[in-house]
Amino acid sequence: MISTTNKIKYYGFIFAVCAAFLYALSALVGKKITDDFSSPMVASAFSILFGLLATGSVFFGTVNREARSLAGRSWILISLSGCASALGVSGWYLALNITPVVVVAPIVAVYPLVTIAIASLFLRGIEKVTRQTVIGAIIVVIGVLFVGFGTQ
Amino acid sequence: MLAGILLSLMAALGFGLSAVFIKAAMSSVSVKTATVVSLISSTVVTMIFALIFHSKEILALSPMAFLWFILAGLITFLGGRLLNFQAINLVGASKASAVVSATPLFAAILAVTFLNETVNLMLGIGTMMIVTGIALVVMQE
Repeated sequence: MISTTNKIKYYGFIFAVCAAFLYALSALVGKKITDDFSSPMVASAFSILFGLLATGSVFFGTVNREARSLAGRSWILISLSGCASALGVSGWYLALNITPVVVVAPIVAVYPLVTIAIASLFLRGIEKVTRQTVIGAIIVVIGVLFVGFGTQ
Repeated sequence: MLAGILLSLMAALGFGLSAVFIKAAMSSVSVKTATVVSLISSTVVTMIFALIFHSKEILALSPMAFLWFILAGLITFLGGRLLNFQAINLVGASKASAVVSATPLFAAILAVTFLNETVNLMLGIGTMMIVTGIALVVMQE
């Protein structure tokens, strides 16, 4: 019998796998866009804009209600998350403009290890980073490098 | 080359930090609101970069391009980012990031399925390593 806590965790991992699949699907759509219509940076900026309009429209009621009572600290943290993600995307495209992908891809691929390092420093009271998570993430990163070089 | 390496490091740091910031904020806000608010700041930052480096290109975009941007926005953000934040909320930033970083594996599977790309040894080894790594992250106490 699976406990409720474990069920929640498994849902979390299923969501993470689905997110990875959707990001991969988005990479295929992105390839079509950058082959036929625009540069990656412009594609990224407008995709995020339309993503905001769609997500904002779908969840307008919830966001409108919660945003009024949201603490300043939460606004700052969430905005920083959005800025960090945008800097990631922009840095990735700007790097590819001036540096070969064989240099850029391995460096960017280590980002889960960056997350683990920062989480272990700043999220001590919120989440526990285990040795197994670190080893698993390192194996995933090496696997991603193999897949990256295997599909070039 | 140095500038490219620094920009790549900026990208890795940006992606890495994003999950940590969102996890720190999750205790007091729903995933839906977090997704929308994060998209507002993402839009501002990427639009600034796009306008600085590609303003002429933006003025010349075709209507068809905007239809593709909408499709990409729906898949990546209404789908991908929302689920990614939900995963971070449920299992934590470090575990969710490790699993979501398997995106290139799914991209390769889609490319092999729909773009008739071939499977080679590197892809096979990488796939096995990613599956093993994810299994290690998922199967713990």
